Amino acid sequence: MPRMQRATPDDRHTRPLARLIAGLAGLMLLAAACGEEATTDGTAGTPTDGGAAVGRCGDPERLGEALNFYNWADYIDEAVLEKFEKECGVRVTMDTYTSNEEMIAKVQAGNSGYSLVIPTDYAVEILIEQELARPLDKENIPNAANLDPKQLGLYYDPDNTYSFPYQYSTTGLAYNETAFAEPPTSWAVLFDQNEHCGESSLLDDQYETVGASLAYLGHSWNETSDAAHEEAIDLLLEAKDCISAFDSANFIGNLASGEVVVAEAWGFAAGIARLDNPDVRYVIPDEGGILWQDNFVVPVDAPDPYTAEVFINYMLEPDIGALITEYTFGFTPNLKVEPLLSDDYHGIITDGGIFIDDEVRERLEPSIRADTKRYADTYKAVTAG
Amino acid sequence: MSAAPSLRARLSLGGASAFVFAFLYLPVAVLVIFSFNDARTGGSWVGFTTRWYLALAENEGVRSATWNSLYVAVISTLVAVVLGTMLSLAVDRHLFRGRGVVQQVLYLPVITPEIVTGVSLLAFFSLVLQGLNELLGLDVSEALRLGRPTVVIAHIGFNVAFVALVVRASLRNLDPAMEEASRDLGASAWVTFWRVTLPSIMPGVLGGALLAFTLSLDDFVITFFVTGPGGATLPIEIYGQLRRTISPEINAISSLLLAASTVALLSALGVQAAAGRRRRARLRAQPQAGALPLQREETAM
Amino acid sequence: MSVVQRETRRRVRILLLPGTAWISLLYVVPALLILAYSFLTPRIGGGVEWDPSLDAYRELLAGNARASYYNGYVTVLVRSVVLAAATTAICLGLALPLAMFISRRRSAIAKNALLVAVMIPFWTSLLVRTYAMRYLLANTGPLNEFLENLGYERQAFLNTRFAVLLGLVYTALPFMVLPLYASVERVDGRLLEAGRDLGASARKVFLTVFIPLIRAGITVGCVMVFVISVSQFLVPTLLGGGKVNMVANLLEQEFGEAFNWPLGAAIALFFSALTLFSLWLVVGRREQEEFL
Repeated sequence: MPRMQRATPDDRHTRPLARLIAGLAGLMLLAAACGEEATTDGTAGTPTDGGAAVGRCGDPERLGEALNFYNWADYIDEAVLEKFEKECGVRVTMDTYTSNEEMIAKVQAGNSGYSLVIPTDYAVEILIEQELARPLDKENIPNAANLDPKQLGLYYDPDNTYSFPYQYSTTGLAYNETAFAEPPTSWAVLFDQNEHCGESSLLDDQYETVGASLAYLGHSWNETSDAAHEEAIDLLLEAKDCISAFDSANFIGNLASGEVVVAEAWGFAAGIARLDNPDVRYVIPDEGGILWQDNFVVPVDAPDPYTAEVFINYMLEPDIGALITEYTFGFTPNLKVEPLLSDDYHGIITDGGIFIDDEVRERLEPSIRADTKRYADTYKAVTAG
Repeated sequence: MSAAPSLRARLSLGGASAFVFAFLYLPVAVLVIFSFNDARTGGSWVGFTTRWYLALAENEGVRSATWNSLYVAVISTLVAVVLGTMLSLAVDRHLFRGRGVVQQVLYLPVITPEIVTGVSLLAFFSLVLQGLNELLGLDVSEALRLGRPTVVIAHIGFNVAFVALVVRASLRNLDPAMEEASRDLGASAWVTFWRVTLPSIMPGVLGGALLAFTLSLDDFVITFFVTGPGGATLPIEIYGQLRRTISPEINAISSLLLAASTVALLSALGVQAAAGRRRRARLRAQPQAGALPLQREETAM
Repeated sequence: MSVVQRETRRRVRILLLPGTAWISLLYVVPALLILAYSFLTPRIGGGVEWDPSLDAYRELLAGNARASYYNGYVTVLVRSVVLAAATTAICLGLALPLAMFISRRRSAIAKNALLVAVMIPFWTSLLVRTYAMRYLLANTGPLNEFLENLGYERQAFLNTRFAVLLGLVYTALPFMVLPLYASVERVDGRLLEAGRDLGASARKVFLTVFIPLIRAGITVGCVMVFVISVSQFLVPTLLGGGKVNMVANLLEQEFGEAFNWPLGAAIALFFSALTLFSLWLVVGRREQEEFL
């Protein structure tokens, strides 16, 4: 029947498209294959600089070709990675995370592939307890001798068996000085005396937000009694209407742009905001803030612990340490780095109120995070309502 | 057409559509415009510059993330289209034991919250990888681990379901009489599929492919949990950079991706239109009028 | 439906196997794993100890006395459902005129071009698009500038239910437009004409003839939009500022900072069951057959 004959569809309709797709796919696969080869070929493990660089690069016989590094987002100047590759011939691939919990989840699941991670104090304790941290071979990290003893031997790793300090900073109050007749000195500006409704933020962190409210109520940041936490719930629920957000990701940009004029913030974050907006200042309120520290840790299933340790040592070199600190606006635990820091850096830290001196240290508590469930429940009560 | 709608009805329809288009494009317009803004924080317009596009050439992280995104999207879409079409053919055309169960399974990826999928896949992949490593006796430096391959596997997982669902809708409207006739005339199952079924469901297949590609490019939560060293896709990379300030470089790469996909889409459409024109010309040259079912293909996805 | 022959049985199996196996392996097996997790105890730092416990379900069902103001699981779940329902309604209202408009175009090229135009915004990263929305709605953003110029006060649009709703609608719109369009396109115009010829008003024809004809498209669109919206993570995170938490945020808290995987697993399972059940109720048996 004529109609049936004509029902045969024209495959010229599908052919060009099919060919296009097949061609694209083929190209991709080809490129991928070539791409893979290029990276595995890599450069040999020998340093390209002269003999002086050997000290900075460890033993070329044992050094690997590649290193997988898991770090906080935007917490290191990429120039450091490039310099390490140029001087020591190791290609560093850095992936980033935005919370300790993300990193712990990956490491705990096993086979993460990372040889070096940067946990915060309490996270180091968790990794050690869960037997996920590898003891460091101190012979490979001679630069550790330059570390400030005040930042060593902390509660989470008393003998520094598993960790060395990377950068440290504080949690306090960042504000835009043009929005205040007098510089604020109390957490009250975020809680019950908030005059900047809709222009203030707290951190999106159960410990840091609840802790700040506990401090304001006269307790310790690390108070875990139910009575204290119930007071904190009351306070935060009332304050919540005026708080524009519980936000750890955007507040830096918000402070810089004026979207937010007062925020719970980390010291180094205030420094970054101050770069874009010189009106941003920082203070540790009278009721108290916390001092916390990020550390180098090598996971127990690290593919290349030796190269990781060499890299740690490299980052503890004075010039490299200076690069890192100038970029992050954190505090360096490396005594040899201090003298190398620029005036710009010091300017921001000093004028911005971010510095720590003895007087400030009185108001700082260590960041401990015991009884996470208590803080979690408190935070849930506040945010879910 | 049919009952002529009143002028007022037509105007309000047009007006409503214009409103929706404006709504859809406003954020995109902002995005593209600010990729040319000469300021680091996306506050207000400062001046015109192309430096962010130039800076992209230096930004290793964004470049490799974009490459990973495209790689994962293309591979997972291709595999998903094949598997998903096969799946929907089997389910739509045949009765078999367990058909109901398969249909429910098809809905799992659609209904499960991504964060649950992400966490459970992380747990699952890790267990499997651990087992494989022990079985193959791989030591720590060569061990199989999370990375781009696991991202591809995860993406294929949800893409197969979406493709199957979209193609299914297309298959429903296909008159099985045509395929039966083809078989009666002696064509094998494969030839029938390739020359009768496939061209008729091509809009559905393309629509499914388009959906799968978009879903893969955009996926954040699932990718986040199952990725590993060197496997970061663009959304992961962007999310990591948000903490500081959202650099206009991100706007730049998004605008480039947008331009590239628009071009790709328009050329695919162009090919389709050209093929349609050629076919219509051929049919007009035939002594008898063209068959109705064929014209249906022309209408859109 | 064609008749099954012996030779086709093998073919069916070949067709079915890879796809189904893939989905099952990635969704069924891990789901069972998560089910197991919900009956275990949390491990410090995340994950579980293989130590059976009903604590997670006890907390889920009986509540948590310490978080004393917290009937909160329920609050978040209800909020998610309400927001998703609102999103679905709004998407329907926006997508229907659009689908009708596109369908009325004369040439196939125009139709395709318009559909492509709908899809193009979704080819940019969702993250970046949502950030663009943040910028637009910010206190210091263009919308507020515009309001101020008109003499009104600045409003806090961001980090509100309004912002999240806007984001949800924006994300889900194409999932409503495409199925709706597919249905609208298949409507035989002569039926509508017949309705008019028989004396019904345009409005009556629309309600009693047109809408029932596109019911399949409406159903598919609504189901997809609802499901996508209710479990959204990025939109409430980026546009809600921690003040408009939805289910995914709750889960993120439990699997993340709270290190309570069993509770997270229990919530996830409970929520999935709830979604499936309500879909089953609302969609009804016949429609399920139609699009399953």
